[in-house]
Amino acid sequence: MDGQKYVLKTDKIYKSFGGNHVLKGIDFELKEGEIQALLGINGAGKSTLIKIISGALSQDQGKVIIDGERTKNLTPAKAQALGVATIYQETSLYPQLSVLENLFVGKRLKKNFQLDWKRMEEIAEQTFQRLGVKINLYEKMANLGKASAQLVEIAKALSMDAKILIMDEPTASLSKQETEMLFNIVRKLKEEGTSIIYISHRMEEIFQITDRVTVMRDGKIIGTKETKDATTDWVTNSMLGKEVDKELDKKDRKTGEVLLDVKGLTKANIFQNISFQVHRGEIVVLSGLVGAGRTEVMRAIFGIDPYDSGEITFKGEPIKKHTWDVIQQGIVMVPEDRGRQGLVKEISAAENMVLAAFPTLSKHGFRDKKKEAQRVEEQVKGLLLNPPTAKLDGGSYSGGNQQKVVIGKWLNTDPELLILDEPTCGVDVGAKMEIYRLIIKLAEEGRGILIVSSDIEETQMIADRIIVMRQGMIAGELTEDFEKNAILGMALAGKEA
Amino acid sequence: MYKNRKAIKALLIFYVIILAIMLVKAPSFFSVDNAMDILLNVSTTAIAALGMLCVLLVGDIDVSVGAILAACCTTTGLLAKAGMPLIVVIAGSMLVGIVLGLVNGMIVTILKLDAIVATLGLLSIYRGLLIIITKGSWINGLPKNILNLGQGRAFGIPIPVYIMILVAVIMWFVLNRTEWGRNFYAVGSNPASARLSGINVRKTRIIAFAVCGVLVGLAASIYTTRYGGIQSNTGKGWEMTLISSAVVGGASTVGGEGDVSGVFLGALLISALGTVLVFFGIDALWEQAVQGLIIFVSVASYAIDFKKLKSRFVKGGAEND
Amino acid sequence: MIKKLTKNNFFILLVVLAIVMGVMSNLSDYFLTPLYLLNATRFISETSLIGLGMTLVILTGGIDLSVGSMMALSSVCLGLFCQIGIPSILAVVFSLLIGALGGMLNGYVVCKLKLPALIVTLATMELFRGIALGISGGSAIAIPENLYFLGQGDIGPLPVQLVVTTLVYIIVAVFIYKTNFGVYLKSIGYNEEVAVFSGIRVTWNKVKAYVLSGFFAALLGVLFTCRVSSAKADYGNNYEMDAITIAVFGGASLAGGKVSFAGAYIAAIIIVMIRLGLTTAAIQTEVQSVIIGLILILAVAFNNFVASRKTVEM
Repeated sequence: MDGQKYVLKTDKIYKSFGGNHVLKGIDFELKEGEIQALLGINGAGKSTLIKIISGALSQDQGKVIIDGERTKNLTPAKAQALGVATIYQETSLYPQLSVLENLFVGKRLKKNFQLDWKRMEEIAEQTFQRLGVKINLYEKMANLGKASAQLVEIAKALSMDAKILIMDEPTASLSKQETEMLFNIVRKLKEEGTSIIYISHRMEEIFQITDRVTVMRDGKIIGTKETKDATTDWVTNSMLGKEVDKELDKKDRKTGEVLLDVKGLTKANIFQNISFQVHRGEIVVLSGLVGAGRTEVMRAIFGIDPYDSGEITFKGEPIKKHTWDVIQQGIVMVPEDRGRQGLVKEISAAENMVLAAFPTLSKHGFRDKKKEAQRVEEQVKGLLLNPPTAKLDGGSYSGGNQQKVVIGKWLNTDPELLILDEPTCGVDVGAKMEIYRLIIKLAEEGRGILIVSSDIEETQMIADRIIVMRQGMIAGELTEDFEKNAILGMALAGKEA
Repeated sequence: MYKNRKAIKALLIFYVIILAIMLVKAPSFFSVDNAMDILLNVSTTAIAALGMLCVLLVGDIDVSVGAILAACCTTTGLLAKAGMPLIVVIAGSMLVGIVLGLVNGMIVTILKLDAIVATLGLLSIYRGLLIIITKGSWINGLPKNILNLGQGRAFGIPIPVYIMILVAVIMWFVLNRTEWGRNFYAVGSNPASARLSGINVRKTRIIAFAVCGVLVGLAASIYTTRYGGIQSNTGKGWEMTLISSAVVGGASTVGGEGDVSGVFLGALLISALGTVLVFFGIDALWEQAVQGLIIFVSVASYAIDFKKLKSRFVKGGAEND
Repeated sequence: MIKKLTKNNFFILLVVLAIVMGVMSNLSDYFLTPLYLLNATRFISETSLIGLGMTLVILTGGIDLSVGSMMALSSVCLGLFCQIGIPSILAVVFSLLIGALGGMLNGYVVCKLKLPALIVTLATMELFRGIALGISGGSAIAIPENLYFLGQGDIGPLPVQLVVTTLVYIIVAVFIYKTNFGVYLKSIGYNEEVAVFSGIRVTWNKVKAYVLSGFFAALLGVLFTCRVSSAKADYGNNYEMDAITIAVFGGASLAGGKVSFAGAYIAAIIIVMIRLGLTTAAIQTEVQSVIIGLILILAVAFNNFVASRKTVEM
C-alpha cells in the first residue's frame, strides 16, 4: 500500500458563523487506507470540519482537495460522487421509509426511466451480507432499534463504495458486541483501501482501531501522531490545553438506611425479577451493555413507563405510580438524552431549573419569582455553571453545563435519591470530572445515588457498589475490586457473583 | 415502499360493514347506475386528493385548494365560452392550477413560512382577487360539446371515471417508480437528511405544490363541465374534503406517509357518504356530522395500538396503586 | 434603541396598528369618532376571544380547528335550551359547558391517542358543525329577549363584550404569568418529553388548554347569538382561520412554545379595524380579504426575518 498517497487534504480552511470563528486555518490530511481519529472537546470544530469535507457547509476560505483535485462549491451530492460518505452523529435516517429505501435515498438506481427496485434490493442484500447482518429490507425504519439504525447507516455508506468514510461517534448507541462487529467491518474496509475519519469520545476505542490521531482545539489542529506513539495523557491534555486533575476525593462515606428497595420488578420481554437496594449516602452504578434493560428499569421506577409486577418501596413506603408523585417522594431522574429529555433548549436555564420545583416553590399555584431567583442563584454558584449566569437559553450551554442545569433542576426539589442515566455521555473530559465531584458531594450530603453507566472507567472511579445487568436480568454484584474483566465477564456471560 | 396497511385494512373493514348493512337494508343500492353515480362523485375528489397527498407527503399542507379550484373552474368556464376546443380548455385550467401551486410552493419555501399559515393567507388572496376579476358573476351556458367531458359516457362508464383511473395509475407510477416521487417521501420523512443526501428540498416541495395545483386544475375542468356552470363560491370548504380524504386514507400530516390506494379509498368513503346516508334514510342535514364521526373514528383507530391496549388490560401490576 | 424596538414583535404590531388607524381615518370621516370606536370594541372583543383560545392551544404545540364549529354548536344549543324552556341563565351555562366538554374531547384524544391536533380537530370541526346542523335542522332559532343584553347591552358606558373579554384576558394573563400554568404550557410546547421527565402533568395541562379553547369558542357563540338575536348552525364559518391568523400575526410560532397574548390582542384589533374601516369606506369585502391575506403573509414573513436575524447575532 502506498502510504504517502493522500486521498484528502484541506488547505487553510477558515469558517466563522456570525463573527464566531469556528475554524482557524485547518490543514488536515488523510492517507489512503488509514483510519485516522479526529478528537477534540465539544466546540473544538470537528463537526464543522467534517461538514465542510462532506459538502454540507461551505468554507469561508481555504481549499478541500479530494484525490489530488481541488473541489469547487462542494455540495453533499458532489462530495458523494467523489466518494465521501458520512455517518452523522444525529441519525440521518428516514423513519417512515423502509430499510431498503433508506439505503438509496439520493442515489437510487434507474432503468428505463423508472426506479430499479429489484437491482437495489440485490445490492442491499449483498451489502448486509458483507456486514454479516440479517435484516428485513421492507421493515419500516421507525420499528427498528438504535443499533439496527446505526447498522443501516453504515450499510448506506457501504452501498455507495465510499473511498473516504467519515464516522461521527458511530458506537455511541451500540452494545459491546455490536461495537466489535463494527470494528471488524471497519478493519475490513480499511484493507479494501477505504480511508476512514473516526470521531469518538471513547478513548479505548481510539487506541484499539485507529492508525493516527489528530487532536483539534479552538478551531485549530493541535497535533497529529501515530496512534502507537500517542498516550492518553497527550490526547486529553492536547484536547483541553491543560492538565486534567484526575484525582477524585472519595472520602469514606457513612452509608445509612435503605432508601430504595426494588423487589422482583418484572416487565415482560424487557426485564425480569430485578431486585436491589440503594442506601443513603451510597453511589450504586448499574453496569452492563447497551440494551441490557437498565434504562427501562429506571424509567419504571421513575413512573415514566408501567411495569408488570414487583414491588418498589422508598423509605419503607410503596412508590407512587405517577412521575410527579414520585418526585414528591424524593426521587428524581437525570435522563440519558439531554437534548430530548433533560432540558428545554428554548427556555432559559433559570426557567429550566425551576421547572420541576413548582410544587414546593409556589404558593397555592402562584409563582414566587423572588424565591425562584434565589434558588437559581444558589444552583448557579453551587454547580459552577459556566458561563456563570442562568439567563441564557438552555441550548446555548455546552454539553457538560447543560447536564449541570438538569442536575440543578433536580437539586431544587431537594431529592433524596438521584437516578442518573449515562450522566457523562457526550460530555468532554474536563466537565466529566466536575460532574463526578458533584455526584460524590451529593452522596456526602446523605443522598442516595443510582447511576446507569456503560463507561467502565467511570464506573470504577465513582462506584461504591456495582450491579451488573445482562439481558434484562441482574447478572451479579460487586462490592469491592472493581476489575474491568470482572464487570465485563458478568455483563457478557453472566457469571454469578 | 412501506405502506400504511393499517389504514387500508381499517377502510376495507368499513366498506365491508357498510356494504353488508346495505345488502340487508337497501338492496337497491347495488345497481349499476348507483355505482356509476358514486364513482362519478368520487372522481373529482380523488383526483385532487392525490394532489393533496403529494403536499402532505413532503410535510406541508395546502388549504388554498378550494380557491384554486374556483380559479380553475372560472378559467374552464371562460375558455369554454370563448369557444376554445376541449384540449385547450383543460390545458388552460391545468396551467392556472400549476401557476397557483407554484406560487404557493415558492411563498412557503422561500419566505420559510408554515404551510398552513401561508396557504391560509393565499386562500383569501386568491378568492378576493378572483371575485374582483370576475365581479362575482356566475358562469352558465357552456357549449354542449364541452359538457361531454363531465357528463359523457363511454361503454356505459362516465368519462371522469376513466380520467380518475388514468390519474391514479400515473400517480402510483410517479410515487413508487420515479426519483421525484420517492423524493417526496424522503423530504417529508427527514428534510435535513434529504438535503445532505443531495436532494433539493426546496425544489421538491415546490414541485409537490405544483402537482397539487395541476391536479386541482384537472379536477376543476371535470367539475365545471359536469355541472355546466359555476358559482362564485365554488370550492368553499373543499380543502377539508381533500385533507380528510387523504388522512382517512392513511396519509400523515407530518409527512412521509401515505399512498395512492389509501387516498383513493379515503376519497371514496368521504364522497360516497352522502349517497349511503340517503339509502339509510338519514336526513342529509346529518351528513356532515356522520362525516366528522367517520374521520374521527378512522384516524383514532389507526392510532390505537390494539396489541398494547390488550396487554394493558391483561397485566395486573401496571396499575400499581 | 430603535434597533432593539424593531426586534420587538409587539412594537411592530403597534406601529402597524397606528398605520392602519391612520389610513382608515383618511378613508372615512366616521372612523375615528368615539361612538364608532366604542361600537367597534364589540367586534374586537368577540374576535380576540377566539384568538385567545387558539393562542393557548398553539402554546402547547397544538392547533384547534374546531373553534368555529364549536361556536355554532354552542349557539344552536343555547337556542334549543331556551326553546325547551330552560331558564336563560342556565341555558347559557349549559352552552358554555358544552364548549368545555368539546374541548375536553379534543384534548384527551390528542393526548391519549398521540394524534396530530390538526387531524383530531379537523374531525371534530366537521363533527361539531354536523351536530349543530342536525339538531337545529339548519334553521335559525329565536332566543328570548332577556338574553339580548349579553350581546347588545352596555355595562356603564362599555359594551358587555368588552367587559367580558377584558375580564377573560385578565384572568388568563394572571394564570399564564403568575402561576406555573404558563411555564408548564411553554415547556410542553417546546419539548413535551422533557416536561414528562420533569414530572409535569402533560395530559392534564394540555387538556386544560383545549378546554379553555372550547370554552372561549362557546362563549363567543353565546355573545354572538345574543348580539344577532337568533341561533344558527352556520355561524363561525372559517373562524378557525381568523383565530390562527390572530395568534400567528400576534407572534405565535405553530411549532409551539412561543406565543404572545398581548400581541394576539393587538392583532385582533388590527384585523377588525381593517375590516370595519374598509366596510365603512364602502370597499368590497373581496378587497378586504386580499388585504388581510397579504398582511398575514407579510407579517409572518417579517417575524421570521426578525427571528433569523436574532439567532445569527447570538
